[in-house]
Amino acid sequence: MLALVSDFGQFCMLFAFCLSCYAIVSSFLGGKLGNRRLVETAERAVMAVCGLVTLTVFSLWYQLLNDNFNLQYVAANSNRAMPWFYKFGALWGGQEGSLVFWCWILSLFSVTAVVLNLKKNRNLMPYVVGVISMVTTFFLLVNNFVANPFDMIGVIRPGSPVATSFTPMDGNGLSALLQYWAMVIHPPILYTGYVGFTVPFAFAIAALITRDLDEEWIRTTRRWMMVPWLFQGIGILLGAKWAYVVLGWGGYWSWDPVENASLMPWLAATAFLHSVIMQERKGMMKVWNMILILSTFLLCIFGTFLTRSGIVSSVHTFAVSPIGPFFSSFLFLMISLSAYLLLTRLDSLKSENRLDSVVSRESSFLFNNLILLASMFAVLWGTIFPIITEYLQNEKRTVSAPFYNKVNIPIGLFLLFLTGVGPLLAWRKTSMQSLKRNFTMPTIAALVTGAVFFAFGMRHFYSMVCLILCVFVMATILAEFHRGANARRRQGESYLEALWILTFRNTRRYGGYIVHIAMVFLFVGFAGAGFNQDVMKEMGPGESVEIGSYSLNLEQIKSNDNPNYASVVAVMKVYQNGKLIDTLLPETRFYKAKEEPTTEVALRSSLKEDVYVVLQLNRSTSKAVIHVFLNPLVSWIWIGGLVFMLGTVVCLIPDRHEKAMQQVASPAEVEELANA
Amino acid sequence: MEKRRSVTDSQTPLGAEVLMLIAVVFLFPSMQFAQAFPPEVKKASEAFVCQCSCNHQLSACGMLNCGSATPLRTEIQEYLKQGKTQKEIVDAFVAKYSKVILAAPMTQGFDLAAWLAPFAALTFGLIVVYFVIKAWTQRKPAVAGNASTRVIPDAYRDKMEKELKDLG
Repeated sequence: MLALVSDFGQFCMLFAFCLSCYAIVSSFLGGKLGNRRLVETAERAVMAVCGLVTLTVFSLWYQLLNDNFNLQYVAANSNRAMPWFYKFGALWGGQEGSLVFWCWILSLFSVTAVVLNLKKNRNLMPYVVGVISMVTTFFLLVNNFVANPFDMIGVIRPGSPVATSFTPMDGNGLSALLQYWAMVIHPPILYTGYVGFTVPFAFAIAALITRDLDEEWIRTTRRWMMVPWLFQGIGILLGAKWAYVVLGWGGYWSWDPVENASLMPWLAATAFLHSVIMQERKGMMKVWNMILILSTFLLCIFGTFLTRSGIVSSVHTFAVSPIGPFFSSFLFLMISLSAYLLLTRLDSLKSENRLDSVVSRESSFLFNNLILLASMFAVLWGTIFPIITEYLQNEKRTVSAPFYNKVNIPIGLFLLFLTGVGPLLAWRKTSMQSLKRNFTMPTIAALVTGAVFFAFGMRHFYSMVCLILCVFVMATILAEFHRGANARRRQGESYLEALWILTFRNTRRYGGYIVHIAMVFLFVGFAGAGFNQDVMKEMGPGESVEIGSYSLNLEQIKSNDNPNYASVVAVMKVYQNGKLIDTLLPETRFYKAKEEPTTEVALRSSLKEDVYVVLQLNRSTSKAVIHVFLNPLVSWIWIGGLVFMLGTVVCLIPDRHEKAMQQVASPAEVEELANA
Repeated sequence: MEKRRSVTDSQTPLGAEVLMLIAVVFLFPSMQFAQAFPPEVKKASEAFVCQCSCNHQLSACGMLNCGSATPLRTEIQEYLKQGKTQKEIVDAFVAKYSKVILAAPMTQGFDLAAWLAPFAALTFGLIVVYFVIKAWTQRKPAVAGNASTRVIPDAYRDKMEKELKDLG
């Protein structure tokens, strides 16, 4: 039965590849010839591909859950002792499975794009379907012929010219680092982000091909960009949470190439989500927006190539693989296609409006985009610099946290400043009176905060500047909400009611402000890093270690053993100012199948600070090595993540302006609506 | 928000030291083992990157299967005992392990490009933005009937702006 299901999965994957090839040909041909039936068959092929890839994924899950170690993938990424949910998560725990999973999400996105556009964007859809199918076909090509998750383990026996099938008794198991709850949901969410950026890319290419570059496609694309942007953002933060709790080094972000690869497209997409407002409102920055959409997708592929080809080293698992040349060829093809179309359509992408003043919302968007892109470039440059030096100087370099922190912290702080300033500048021109009205109170609040911090002895420059700016930005945003709510209260609404209605009547604007609040929370969390403390001590029972106002006493050490892992747990009593407040249980595990150790961090978290305890062992003294970190304000990062989700969801809810615009078919109707 | 774990299975009623020894020998046969170092070693090791592919600074690597952090930190501790300065330790490490051991590129020779490029790009971007703003402010007002005004007529736009102003 297992073999049958495995063969069925392989067949579905191959059939999906064939149908996807057909979808490319028929959609482009149908678009070119204006043949509606050809386009419809392409759309049905896309749906069939989705069904087939779904069956492939379920076949692979079946193999994983039933321990078919005859498959290389299952043997390498699962074992009998693993709980079922990690076996389930092993689908994306290795190279081949994660590529199938990627392809599955992409096929789901394809179907969604087709279904949501059955009655609109019809002139674009043949090319949208064609481009998405090109990407799907590429992944199916890699999965079928280079990184096949259904490949079986073969053994060449003496005297036999061919390999015979072999089933090991047990598998190697999932990497111990991946056996953590966030890793069951982090990759799917992050992949949804990565993959989702394919749809706006497809719309952009379709708009360029057809030269149908009016407002409709950009409105559609904005939404399609925002959804993966949300998922990518959540995915990045979940990854940070995983790094914080599992890697045991006391931090949440280490500028690892894989982390960088996920951040770059998110930054480009963030720039787009700002500059698209300029195009929708003023008909400006059309070329720039096109570049941002194309770059976001290309950065996704580039990042994937970078981290899966093994050309940069990373703590993540997809280290060495033969898929690199395929990804680089595909990337080259996509860059060439994008560049050609963009350069030949420049005349259709001219800006239509003018700028009335330098001090205006329009110019703040330009600076915002510049800073976001500078930050993105710094990350990209740092990530590829080791490759460049190796190529040019035949000597490797390492670019890690000190480089990124020195370059990106000032850039990030300027971006935070713009987050406060930009939304309060008026369109066209900002008067001096308006500047005074909007910025006096936030500036005073920020200066007072700075003075208080200084008086209390705070001297860490970047953290202090960051917190002052956080107060400034928060004050500007809250003032915006307050002014809006006050204006509505004059109509007899209560304050809370006014806030609610205000937000949901203009979801894009106020949802955007909520996202900015999330950014403030995130920066508050980042600022805390300037005050981190840590202490490492070899301890026996009864001994204690001091950090900040805390004292941690090692009470006893216990051991655990189960089929999946063996572990040692330290029972640590936590005292604050002499009073017992908690018991923490840092743990060290040894996963048997993979022969891999992990730390299980014990954490006491509060809004003010985290007490973070790691247990390690010293072979020579047989003592516990307790590493205690006191990390201020980290919780604000996770709170920021939740607020970010909330804000983006609010932004996605169509407000009355958008609904009106969507329902309007002609300029006359718009005029009528406006005069109503 | 607290993270607590229960310790239930196979708890051994032996002393902690004995338990730790059992754990070390039997439960963790191939694990690398940690060692506590004084703060000055941590400070000095911030200049270097761990060689276990974790991409962390040597001061931060917390990987239990890391085979390089403890020996490298021990080496730094030895250098510090010999009275070597931070610069001398960096020179000694570069001579022994090459520049790949450094956590960030140096600020000389070709490595300087790593530091300059982001700010050069930012400066270039600022120049571009300057010229874009200049070009846009000098542009004549958009003629009626172009794409943007076609979809959002002036009356509707004015109404929206008025509403926004009222809210503000």
